[in-house]
Amino acid sequence: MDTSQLLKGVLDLAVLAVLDRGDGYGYEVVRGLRAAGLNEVGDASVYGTLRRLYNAGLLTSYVVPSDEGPHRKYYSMNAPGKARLRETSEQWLAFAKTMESLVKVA
Amino acid sequence: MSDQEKKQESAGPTAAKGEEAVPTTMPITEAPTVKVARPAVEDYLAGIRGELADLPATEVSEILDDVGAHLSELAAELGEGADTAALTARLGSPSAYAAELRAAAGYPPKPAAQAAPASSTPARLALIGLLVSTVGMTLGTLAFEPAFVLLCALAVLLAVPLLTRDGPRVPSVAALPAVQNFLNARPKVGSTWRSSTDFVASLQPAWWLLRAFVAAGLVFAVFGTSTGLTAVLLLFLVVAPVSVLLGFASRRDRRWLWAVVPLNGVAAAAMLLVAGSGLASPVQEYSSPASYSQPGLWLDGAREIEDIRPVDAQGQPLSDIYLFDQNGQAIDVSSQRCYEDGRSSYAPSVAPRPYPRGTSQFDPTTGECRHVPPAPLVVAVPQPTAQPTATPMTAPPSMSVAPQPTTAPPASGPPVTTVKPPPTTG
Repeated sequence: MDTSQLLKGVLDLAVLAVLDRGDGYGYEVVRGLRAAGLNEVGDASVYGTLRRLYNAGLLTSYVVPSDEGPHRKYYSMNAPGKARLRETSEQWLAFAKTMESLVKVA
Repeated sequence: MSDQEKKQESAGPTAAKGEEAVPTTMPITEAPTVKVARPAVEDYLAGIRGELADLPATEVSEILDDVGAHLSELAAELGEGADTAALTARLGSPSAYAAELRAAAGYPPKPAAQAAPASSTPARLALIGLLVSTVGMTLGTLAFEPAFVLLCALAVLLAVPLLTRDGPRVPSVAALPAVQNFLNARPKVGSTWRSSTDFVASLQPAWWLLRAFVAAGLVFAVFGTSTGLTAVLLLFLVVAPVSVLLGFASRRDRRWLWAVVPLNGVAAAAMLLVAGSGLASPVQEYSSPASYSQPGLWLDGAREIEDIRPVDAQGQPLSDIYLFDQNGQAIDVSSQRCYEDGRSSYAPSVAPRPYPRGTSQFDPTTGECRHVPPAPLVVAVPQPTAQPTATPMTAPPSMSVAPQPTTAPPASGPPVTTVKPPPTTG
């Protein structure tokens, strides 16, 4: 199975986890994911995920002017976002544990 | 995995509720959008914009804000080699990028191919509406046809479907190939041409004031009874701030252009008309038929009668004839003026003479009017159908049967006293 297929289900969690470390603009989130080892995540997927989480009310955003180019839109987690992160990561950890034991047995 | 999927699905319905729950969100749309200068980035962005054209305009502009910043940062990393091919190699094609973004953002997939041209139709209509109304209203003003101007103003309504859902920069019109070509045809930054066009563009506020003055004048020309300069100036004081505000508004929000550009055309046409009539008015006054009376005798105002050649019923020329009008006033054909090739002179004023008199001709050698005696002339005499009316005229003896004083007026007409002018030697 392609890693990108696995990623689809957990990209929300991954993006929320990166933003939990600090506010970031889109490309920063992309780099954060890459730095964490998720090399196969597509730029467009990250931007799409950010938009969806924003539209779902889990993120807020603010604009910071930049000298060298267009302004940067920073995304920041709000309380519902933090709650979602907690919830999803618990689910993930349980799921991963189940999978791990399953895979080890096999 | 099923738990995970449930979570994914539940993210959708919470969207609307979630948006309301975040009042602290900064208004992003009001942030200044700094244009990225790299053409490759612009091209790539335009490609993505086209792929997302079916989405709500505000959402698209938010996405493009994000992606534009991303792309320019990427282009900066790539350095000089940041052309469209390099961006495509790094990110995939704009359509692939858009498709991936759609999937991740939970937007519906792009509508089938037939919907793509349909989505650009409102933009085309808007552009056509703008062009038709601008050209039509300008020409209508020039031709002084208010009804036509109003008719063409309706063409702006073609843009309503687009303007109600497009953003302030009207991206879907800006993405039209025709508009792109027009924008690309502008002189390059740094060229001499560009500096002169920039200079002209910097005069825009002056135009805002000028058009306000024209608008004030137009209002009085159309509705007002008095066109005093004071009244126009007073109205100008009201109109000028509105015009300047409108100018700034249309710089910020390009949707105003659909109202402003056609009216600019009308103002420019009105100025042309005023300038034109200012140059033409002295000539007009001179050639006005009301203020200039033609000397001499004219038939239907078109053909000058220079001499009268009386003949009798048999076509025999008569001489020494005096003519009088219904009031007994002598009919004088002499215009006392003779022309040739644009040169003219005045004949010496003479007392009325009997007809035929001959004509007056311009003599190029002396520069004066020369008398030309009447030349032999053959005319076709109409054959009278009522024979008896001619009989008493040709049979003078019958007159003596019923003697009448020669000064007696005809029975049907009112008494008219004619005065025979004294014979002259002219």
